[in-house]
Amino acid sequence: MKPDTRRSGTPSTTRVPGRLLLALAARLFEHPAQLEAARAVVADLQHEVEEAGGNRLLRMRALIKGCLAYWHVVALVPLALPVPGAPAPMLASGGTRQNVFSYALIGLWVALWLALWPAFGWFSLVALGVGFSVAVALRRWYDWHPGFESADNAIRYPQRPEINLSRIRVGGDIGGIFFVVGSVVTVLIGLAPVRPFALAALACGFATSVPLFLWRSSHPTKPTSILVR
Amino acid sequence: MFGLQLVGASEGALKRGTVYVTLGRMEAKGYVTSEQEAPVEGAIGLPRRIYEPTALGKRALRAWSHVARELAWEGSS
Repeated sequence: MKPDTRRSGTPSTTRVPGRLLLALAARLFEHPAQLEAARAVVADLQHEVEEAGGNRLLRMRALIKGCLAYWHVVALVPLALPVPGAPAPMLASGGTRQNVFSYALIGLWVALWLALWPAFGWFSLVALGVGFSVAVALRRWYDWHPGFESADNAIRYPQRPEINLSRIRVGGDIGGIFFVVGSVVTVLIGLAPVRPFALAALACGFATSVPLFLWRSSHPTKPTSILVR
Repeated sequence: MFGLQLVGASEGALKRGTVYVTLGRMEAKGYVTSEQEAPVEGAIGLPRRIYEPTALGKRALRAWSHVARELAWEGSS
């Protein structure tokens, strides 16, 4: 048994505060300058906690102050330390102007949501949850299949906050599937009489697409210019 | 100086939530340099960064102080 284990009755490995915050920062920020700002705050937190020693009150105070500073940095870093020159997520991209647009759009969305709450109530909250989940799934899918987001597309379709549906790029990828399925489900929920027609259309589409896919697969020299850009 | 030391020395002018963002911007512009502190035996946390002004940073501070003094003088007259 190690000496400190004998002394305290706990394992010798000390639980380091701020590890979760560090892991979160690594997920949030990719650029070294952004990550460094978050790491510096966590380093301060850890040193203050260490300096507090066994005084629980001081430790708690250091933890709270450190966590507040950390979240302050997380909110500020995308605005103040933009990633230079790379296509980046909406809030982590360079340029104060674009970030102002992003925050303005979020503000507009919140106002719209609050205004619609009396009419839609909890449905809007469920829609929010589903929408968020789909957005996360989309992002994860593109992370796992980076080849689908070509540099050419990134330049032609910069990731900007848009509420205009016509500006949302939909290609023959997972985004297209989400868009099609989401649109169809929305229409079917709202217009019950068209459900049989949708089922028939689905069957026809399937019957057409399978032979087409097989034929395209067996004739690779023919360019599928509509599906692949 | 460490970031927290700067916060303490500023007597409330700097906040610990913004000091590293400010220092990061200043470092990107070449006003300060930073390096990690030497690892301390038995320390539990990450090593902190020590910030130091560059010659350009000192010159910029002198120029800014001069301008601020001049503007203050103009305003008081």
